[in-house]
Amino acid sequence: MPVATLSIPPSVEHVRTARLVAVAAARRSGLDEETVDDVRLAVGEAVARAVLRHGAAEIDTHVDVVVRDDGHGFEVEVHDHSSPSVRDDDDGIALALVEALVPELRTHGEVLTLAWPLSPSA
Amino acid sequence: MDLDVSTREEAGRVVVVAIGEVDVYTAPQLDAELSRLTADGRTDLVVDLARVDFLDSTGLSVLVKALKRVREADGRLDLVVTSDRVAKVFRITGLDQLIPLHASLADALA
Repeated sequence: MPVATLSIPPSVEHVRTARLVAVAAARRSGLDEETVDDVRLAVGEAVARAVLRHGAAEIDTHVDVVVRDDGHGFEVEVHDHSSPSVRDDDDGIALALVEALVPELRTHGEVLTLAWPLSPSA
Repeated sequence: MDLDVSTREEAGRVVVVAIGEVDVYTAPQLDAELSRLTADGRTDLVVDLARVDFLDSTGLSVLVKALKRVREADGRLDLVVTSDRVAKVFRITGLDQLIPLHASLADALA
């Protein structure tokens, strides 16, 4: 079940809101502070990328962010409604950072899922 | 205010102090100031990020752009980074190999 769902206009000033929500939810899920920092940066990068791609595609559809905690893992879905043919104009730095920070990264259609499995000892 | 950027001279160098968060929304402010300085030929720069508690890839891009301009003019760019969170972004992108990071402004000016 989602612990938070957020729909933000594709405008860069709203990326911070998504970061704050993800960080608050990550703390509640019991992630340690270092991992919470990774969540902050990775979610910020993924949402910023989606916002910029919406801009490049010239669509004003909101970017949707869904935060889930099923007890086994903490997950953040970023729904990017732009076209897959939109090119990132940052040489892929944002995505490279996300890949470096997130233990499990899944792409399904327009949804990018960032997942942090919770270890029982955590 | 999410980000405050101010500039002063210290020890013969230009010190740009950023306070707040440098992200996709605020990075253009830092970019504008660094571009203004380098366009003025002020290319011996220290960017003090000690009171920056968050920096994303947009912030990194701004600093890399400034580094290019400074190097073209035979200038220098040093950074002050105290937060582990900010230091980590430089480390995982390898940019700490390209731009000198210092633990204090005194270190950067030494």
